[in-house]
Amino acid sequence: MSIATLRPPVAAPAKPAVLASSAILFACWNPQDPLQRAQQLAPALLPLGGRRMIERVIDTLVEDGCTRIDVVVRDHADAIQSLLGDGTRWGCTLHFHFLPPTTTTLPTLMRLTPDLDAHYRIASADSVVRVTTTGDEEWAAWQGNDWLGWARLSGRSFARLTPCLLERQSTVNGFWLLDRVNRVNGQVLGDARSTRGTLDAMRQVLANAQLDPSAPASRLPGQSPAAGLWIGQGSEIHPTARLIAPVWIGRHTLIRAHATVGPDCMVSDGCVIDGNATLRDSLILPGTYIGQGIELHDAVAEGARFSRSDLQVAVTVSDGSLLDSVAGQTSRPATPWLERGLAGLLWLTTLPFAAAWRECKTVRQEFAHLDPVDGSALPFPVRMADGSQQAPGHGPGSWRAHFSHVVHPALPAVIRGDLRLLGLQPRSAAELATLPDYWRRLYQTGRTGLLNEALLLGAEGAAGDMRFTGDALACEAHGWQPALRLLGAYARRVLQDYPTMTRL
Amino acid sequence: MKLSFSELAADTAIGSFAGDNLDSSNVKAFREQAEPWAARCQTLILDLSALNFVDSSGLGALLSILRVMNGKDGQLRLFGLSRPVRALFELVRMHRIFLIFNTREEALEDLPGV
Repeated sequence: MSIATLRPPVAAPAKPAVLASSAILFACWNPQDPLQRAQQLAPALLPLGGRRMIERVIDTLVEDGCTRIDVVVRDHADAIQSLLGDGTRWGCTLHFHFLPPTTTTLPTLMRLTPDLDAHYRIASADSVVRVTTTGDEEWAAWQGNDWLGWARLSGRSFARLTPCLLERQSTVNGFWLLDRVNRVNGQVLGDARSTRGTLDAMRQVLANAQLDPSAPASRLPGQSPAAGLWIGQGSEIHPTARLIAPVWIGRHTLIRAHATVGPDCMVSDGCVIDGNATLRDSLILPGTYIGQGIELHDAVAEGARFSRSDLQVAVTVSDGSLLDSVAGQTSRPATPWLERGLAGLLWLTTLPFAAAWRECKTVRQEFAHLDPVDGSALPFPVRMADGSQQAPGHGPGSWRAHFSHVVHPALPAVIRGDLRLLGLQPRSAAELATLPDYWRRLYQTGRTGLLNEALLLGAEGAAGDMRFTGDALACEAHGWQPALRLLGAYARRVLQDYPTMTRL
Repeated sequence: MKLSFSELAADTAIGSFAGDNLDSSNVKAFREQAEPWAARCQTLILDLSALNFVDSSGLGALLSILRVMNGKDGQLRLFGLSRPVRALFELVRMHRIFLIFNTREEALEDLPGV
């Protein structure tokens, strides 16, 4: 369908009382839907009464007062972009973002800097839903247990969606974020369009960093700081290696003799670029070994797999001397004794409250890790109250119930070392078996824990993307500061629930 | 691994792969079939369009054929590389060593007697 055959523009109406000046429109909300995959079906482009679904969604957003809409696309990106144009038909501006080869929308959200004082609509291009509330924010559009992808929220809440977004004051932090996301989500190197989107994002970050005075350039051994070079802590660059700016090197990465890296390259943490290898316009994901003399350009590489945007192909290399993981993880990090002690202390000090709040008996439930080597289920028992699967954040007293029914009775499992305080959402072996491969891989080497970011976002019952995002973030080595912040945020919510429940 | 060779002209032969991969499982068969033709011809042309994957042993086998051809001032020409194979060739810089053509017609161009 060409633009000329479409209906005339819909005039933008006057803004409502509660302004939603901007919108984030996801036109690739459910990439894991096997049916969509199999049928190559783009719900956003489905015809609906003579127009496409996504056009009707934009009608709704414009009627709500949105004048700027960020459209997140992945599959069928060209078709969607040519269909919508730049938004002048609606009297708004459309900005397109190509989703990187990840399974979540988080990277795109991270690249958007929200206006903290504005109001945002989050919208999904596969459903037309009107969020009618005039309140400050609402994750309003639910159908059964599935969030339809529509919400209204303030700029501050939007910023909280990506927990570290508010900290992104400099491009260096932007690097960290991009790398962090790639580390946990870049495990699916899919189609070339995603690769192209990722590389575009990478070039944009690097270009911005060169203009950003707050992004300090790194100093190579024996040389003055060079503009456009950033080298992470613990990385070693051989004196004969050549870095051509802009280049970003992560932490604990090794660049060996006569390797050439750049321009426009990001090499993530823990990589080895062997002698005489040549990289340009490429993103190397963490823990990747690039063999001697290898030449990569316009590529995203992770482990033994690389994807070339120019050839539109993804290839797995069977020879570990060419391309491989630096070292396959074969063990799961143990729960530190300090954390076990903290869990014991927490269990003791909160015992009276939890016992008083608990409304039913605890029962033994089986959860499972996955073996890091062969992926088989390794069950472990945790005591929790019956009905403890109910997600917190939905109704008064739910946070307190979550603490007394789920967290407190499960603290002994943390003391035993079966669980961590923060980590992947505990799942049974049967549930793990239903997860997609990229998600199961998190459970092979990641830590399973009681709390994670997704829980605080109230996303437990939301779309799979959000649950995966929470799990993926939980895999990160948080360090104590963010961990304590997360625990503090959880504690605040539990305590805020207390007066609510006493009134009841 | 099945390779079908045909003689195009004196000292010139063209070979086509029947399987979709050239790896350690069939590289021996490939060499057994290709080396006699490499020894006999001055120009050997290989149609790789059926191949979707070549591993390092496959690349090594192609290199050994190239070495035979170079040893007698002959030529090994490749054409019809699929995108994955092209990506692998470029990964290990073999696209700079081999004579690679996009199509059969291009590969046959300027060959005497063809």
